[in-house]
Amino acid sequence: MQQTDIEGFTQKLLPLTVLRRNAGMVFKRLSEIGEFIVTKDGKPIARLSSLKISKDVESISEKLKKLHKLAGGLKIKKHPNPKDITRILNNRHEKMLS
Amino acid sequence: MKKCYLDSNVLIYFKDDKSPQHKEALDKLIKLISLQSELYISPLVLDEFIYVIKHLLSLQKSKTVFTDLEKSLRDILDIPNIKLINPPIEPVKQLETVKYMRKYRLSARDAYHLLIILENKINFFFTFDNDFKSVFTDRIITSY
Repeated sequence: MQQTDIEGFTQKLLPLTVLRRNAGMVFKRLSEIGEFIVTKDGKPIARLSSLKISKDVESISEKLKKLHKLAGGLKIKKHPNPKDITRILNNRHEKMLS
Repeated sequence: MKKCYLDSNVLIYFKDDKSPQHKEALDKLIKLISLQSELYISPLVLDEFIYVIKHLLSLQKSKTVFTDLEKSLRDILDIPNIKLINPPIEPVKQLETVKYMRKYRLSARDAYHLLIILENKINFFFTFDNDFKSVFTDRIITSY
């Protein structure tokens, strides 16, 4: 595990007593960090996750919906294959040079 | 997280839903977005996209060339996770294109795409162009 990973992991550890006494601060930080591992007597007992994670999952489905809306719709009668596209672009360069 | 550069042919097939390559272009973009990948294009990609679309619309004497062109361009710029990147500005870096042209037998345009990809530390390239075969074989970037 790299140093930064260890630091990130340590940041996520949350003693149960801290959760009890500073719930407001913990939930404020939860939205920034994403999740806490709640510990009791130094041992992990629970995971506290932000709902932001499920929002991200939702946003992927929204992104895919958007992608489908953007796809297609170009009204062209000739459908070039990859070689045709290269040819069109190469011809432009030749035209410019001639 | 995957960082993937998109070639202009991918964007053309993404917009041309009657093309045989449309499904593959769309399916792979779906996969990339599902994996939260970052998608990259450059002004060079946009230039190629605009030129080819305008060329194809002009061939059929469309009266709405610029309206259709603008809509297509807006649509591809609106693709989720897409970002615009630029070539390096240092004069010495421009010389790399000649090196790539010689080593991989690329056109100047394709060598410039490769320079943009490598300088921006992008590891995947999604293209339908077979001219990059030797680049993929050399494993300096991976074909998506």
